[in-house]
Amino acid sequence: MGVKETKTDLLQGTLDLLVLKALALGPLHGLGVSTRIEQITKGTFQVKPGSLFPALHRMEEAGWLQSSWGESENNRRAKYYRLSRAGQRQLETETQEWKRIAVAIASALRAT
Amino acid sequence: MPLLSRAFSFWRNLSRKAQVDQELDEELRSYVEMLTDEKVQRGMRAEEARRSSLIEVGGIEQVKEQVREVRIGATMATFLRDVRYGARSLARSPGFTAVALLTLALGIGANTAIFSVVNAVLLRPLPFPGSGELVVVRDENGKTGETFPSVSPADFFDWKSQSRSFASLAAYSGWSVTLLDSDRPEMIPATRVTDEFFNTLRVQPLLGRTFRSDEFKADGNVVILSYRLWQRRFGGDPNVVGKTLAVEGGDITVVGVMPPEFKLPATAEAWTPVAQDSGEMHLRAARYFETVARLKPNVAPSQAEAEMRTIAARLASQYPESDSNWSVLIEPLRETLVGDVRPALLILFGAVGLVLLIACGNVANLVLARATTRHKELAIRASLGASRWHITRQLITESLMLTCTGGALGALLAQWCVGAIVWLVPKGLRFPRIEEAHVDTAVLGFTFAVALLAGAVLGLITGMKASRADLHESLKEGGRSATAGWRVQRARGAMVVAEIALTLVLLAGAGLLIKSLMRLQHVELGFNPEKLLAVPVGASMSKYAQPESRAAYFERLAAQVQAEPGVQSVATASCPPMMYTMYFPFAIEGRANPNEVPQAWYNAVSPNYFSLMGIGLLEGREFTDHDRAGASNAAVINETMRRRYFAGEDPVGKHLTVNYLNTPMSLEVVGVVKDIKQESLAAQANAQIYVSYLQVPWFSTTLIIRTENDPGALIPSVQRAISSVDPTQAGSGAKTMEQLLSDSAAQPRFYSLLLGVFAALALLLAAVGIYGVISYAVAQRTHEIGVRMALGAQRRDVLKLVIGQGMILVLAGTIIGLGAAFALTRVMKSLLYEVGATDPATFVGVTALLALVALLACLLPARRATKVDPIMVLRHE
Repeated sequence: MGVKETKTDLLQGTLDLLVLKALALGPLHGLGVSTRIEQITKGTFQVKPGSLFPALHRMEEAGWLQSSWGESENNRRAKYYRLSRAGQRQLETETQEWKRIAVAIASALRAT
Repeated sequence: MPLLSRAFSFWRNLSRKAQVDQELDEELRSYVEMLTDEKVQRGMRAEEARRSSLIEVGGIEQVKEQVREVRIGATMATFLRDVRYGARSLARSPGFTAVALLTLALGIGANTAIFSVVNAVLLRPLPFPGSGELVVVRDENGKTGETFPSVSPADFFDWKSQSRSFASLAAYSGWSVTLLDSDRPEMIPATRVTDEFFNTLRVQPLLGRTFRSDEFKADGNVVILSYRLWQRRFGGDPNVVGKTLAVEGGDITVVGVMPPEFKLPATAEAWTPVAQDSGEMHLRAARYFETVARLKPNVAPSQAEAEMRTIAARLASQYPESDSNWSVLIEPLRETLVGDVRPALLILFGAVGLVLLIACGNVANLVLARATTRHKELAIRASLGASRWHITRQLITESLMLTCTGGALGALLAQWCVGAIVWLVPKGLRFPRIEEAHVDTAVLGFTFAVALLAGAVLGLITGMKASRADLHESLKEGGRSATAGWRVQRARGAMVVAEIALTLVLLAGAGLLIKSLMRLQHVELGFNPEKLLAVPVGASMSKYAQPESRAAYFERLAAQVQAEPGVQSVATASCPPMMYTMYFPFAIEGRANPNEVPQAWYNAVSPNYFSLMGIGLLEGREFTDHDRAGASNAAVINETMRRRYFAGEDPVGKHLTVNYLNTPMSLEVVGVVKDIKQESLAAQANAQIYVSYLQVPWFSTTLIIRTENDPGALIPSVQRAISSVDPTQAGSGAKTMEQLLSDSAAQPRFYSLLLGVFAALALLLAAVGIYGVISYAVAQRTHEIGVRMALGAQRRDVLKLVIGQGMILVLAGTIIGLGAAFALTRVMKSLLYEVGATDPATFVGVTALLALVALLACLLPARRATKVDPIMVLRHE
């Protein structure tokens, strides 16, 4: 299953971007978010609860996420998160930002 | 997220910590359960799956702690970021910040100071347990409508035995005790109280006990000291209870000391029991007992009043010669104590509120001016993704920082101001509870609320402006948005109009008070107050029980003082003007009408009183040395009495019957003198009867001394002279007439001073406001002015242009302000003396003053405008 390296010290912006991206596809509960991130990064990032939950709550506090209680697929009560409009805007901004950085880093690496 | 909902979330996180924690618990539990489910599906055994899930989650408590930190931290971080940004932005314009802070500190400080007085005098409960049930029962004359603070002893005891509405009913009456326990006798203002006085008020003594029921008789001989007297005279001696004090007329034993906050009546230094078995308790026509009563629970004041009116009607038919036309009024004790000063305090409070509005207007003006220059900064922030709320929140944070800092400075300023205000109130003046005024937590709470409110208003005004003007527009135009600038300018103009209007209201109020004070100080006194000294002296009831011996004693006193160097002449009066008044009922012989019991001021004077005081004789004669015991009783009346009761007749030769301490006393009118200001500078003259003290001496008298030089300097030698006649007598409480007159005008002077200061502050702020707006307009129009001058406009035209712009604002503000002043000064009516509430001269005067100051404020920027060099302006283009 690819690189099994746990990156808890991810750049904060990276984790936010991944969470926003994961939720862009639809509402998820905590475990769903970490599973989705694992899927979309093809297993590169595994987000542990210790960084996942503070991030979710921080982003909710910032108004990017909204939460509500619902039933899971196995009939368990779970807290679901979804993107707010501000969250969608934030996702766009951060995506642009990330692309800019990625291009810059790539060109920096080419230059050497 | 909007500021409010963020603040709410912050508060929720703090206050509903338990619930947030519980939700978090549940969220983490469901995470672990779902992870376990997943592992089981993948083929793990249930128990092992659960164990590995828990390991994977790590410390649940740790996760929770981290989440908690994030939740509170995010809110705090945003707030701190706004504050930091605000602080940087304010520090970048120190001039703006300093002026805004100073303005706010003045406005909020003045409000805090006045509020601490209002709080102490009007809001804080009286220092008696259950003070809401305490009422004062007082006499009301149904015919003249005048209310009397007091009741006669006989009526009081009838009220007490017949009424059912009160848990207890007590009376008290002022007198004095002369302490003889040191070299110099001292006269102490004391209060005689009836048996239920202390338990009605439910006060416990600090030391010792209150009076026992068997002490309310002639030989009670006990005293309770005030805290003040205990400290001053006895150095706070803890063993003072049980001590016997030598006083004039015998010894008395100290049985208790009252706590410092117990001040009823305000002047009392000591309390003694009323001799409830004495003949005095049968006096019915002399009203000098003040009352205080505690209503039974569930009895409304109106019910008690209804009952008391029935009792009063019964007494009136039973004793028509003293009680007809007298009814009863019940009012809360608080009303009696502070009712007099409430209107004035509320007016001052309102006035200082207007000053704060003007201060806010000025700061808003500054903030708006700054907003125009900050337009670009805000536009850049907006284009970088800051939402409208983000920017408004930032502006509100900055405003709150300004007003809260201004408020803190204001609170410091108020601390000092309250001291100054309390100091300004002349000592011994009837201004209840003011010495309790200080800046406490309640006052600071008020200050904080005012600061928050001012900050929110400021922030909203500026925020509205900033978001309404299209911020992107200003970027496109390179930061010079003409329309937005014009809109802001119009808003600033409106603010100046409002400031002018408010200032005019304050100026009108202050002008009216000052004019009324001037009227009061130049009022026709009816006597010559120059170089007069008044020294009250008592006469021992044991030594001078007989009227003749009393008269002889007073005569000796006057002669002894007359011999002192520096004394020109000496007269005596039981009631010198501005010091005391005494009322007695009287009737005109041959015109008896039991349904009408008129009252007149009564004054026992020496024969030379009128000539010494310079009171003019209108007809008949003054008293002579022959008007003494043995001769037929003579009376001199004043012109008000002649006008009221002897219209079209000659009063000289007519006979009066005065109800003198329950005994009818017949007097023949021998003369009529001019009215004088007897009670106070403001009070109208009443009917007055003078008698000769040689004939009917009162129990005490006041030496009235005309001196050759400064009367105050003579006090010690006069006191020595008094002691030399009788070493057990004191001449305490000496005052010069100048002092007495000044005390009589002290309250109006105090109000005029405060309102005058507020009006001056308002005027200054308004002038600064106009100056700011016009300066800014001139700066904006520099180009236009340059062009006009290039096209041939003269300096005069430019001056006219700029001043015209300012004066239009002033005119609009003046019109609105005059309207408001006409409507508002009416509330001041009770504070004015012989000045109408809409006195035209005052209104014209203050309008002219305001216009003049406004003109000066416009003139400075206008002169700057004329200095514009057209060549420079055009070249710059």
